[in-house]
Amino acid sequence: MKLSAFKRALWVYHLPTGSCNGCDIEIVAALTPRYDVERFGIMLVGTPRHADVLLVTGTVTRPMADRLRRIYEQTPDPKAVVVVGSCGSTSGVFYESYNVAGPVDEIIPVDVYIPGCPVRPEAITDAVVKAVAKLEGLEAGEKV
Amino acid sequence: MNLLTGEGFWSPLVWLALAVGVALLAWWLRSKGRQDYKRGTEQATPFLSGEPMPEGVHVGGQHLYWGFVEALRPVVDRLRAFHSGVVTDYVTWLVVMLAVVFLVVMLS
Repeated sequence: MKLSAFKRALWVYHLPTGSCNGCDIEIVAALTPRYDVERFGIMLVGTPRHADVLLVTGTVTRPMADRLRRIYEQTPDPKAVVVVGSCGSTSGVFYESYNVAGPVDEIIPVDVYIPGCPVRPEAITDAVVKAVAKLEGLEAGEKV
Repeated sequence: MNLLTGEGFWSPLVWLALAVGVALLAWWLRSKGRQDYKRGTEQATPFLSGEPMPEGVHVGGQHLYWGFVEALRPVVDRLRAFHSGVVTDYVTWLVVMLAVVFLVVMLS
């Protein structure tokens, strides 16, 4: 990873697709003064139309599958998808449950996975930085 | 060409220069926006929390006043009852209200 400094602020859209809220709370924790990711220019936005990174939490329930796909398509390119937590990565304890459409990567392409139940804020920050590196590579025309 | 009053002046050239300045500012602000949306894809559709865009949906102008209308519902309902949609009724109201205004002005 060649990233040394952010070239611009990174806007993140947080999308819960069936989470128990454990990972969502950890995302909020990453914004609190202890971790304070906004000092790096990383901030949550209210619409994917403004986002560079999609932060997806939870396994994908059946009603959310279409909405997840649509929100991914509505996010402008270049974009990166970060899956937060074990449920989104593998379906976790909901594996093959009747009301689960699958882990996130069965619905949309995923760039970074963060395992954990729930994940730690340091891991979220690290994953977003990895996503930035990918985005900067895409913007520079590299094949990532 | 300038119009001088006790409070200031009005010049069409100054007005034009201001209009051009505002237009340039608006163009500059717009040019700072993202250019990488792909036309004809979902990226160009409104974001409705992931819901599909319903066919033929638009937000009517009256929705801008929805809060006012709901807050003043009793008054609005009474005023609406006066609005028959017939032009002669409107003209009658105009004449009556003008007569009232004239009376008030003459008596004061």
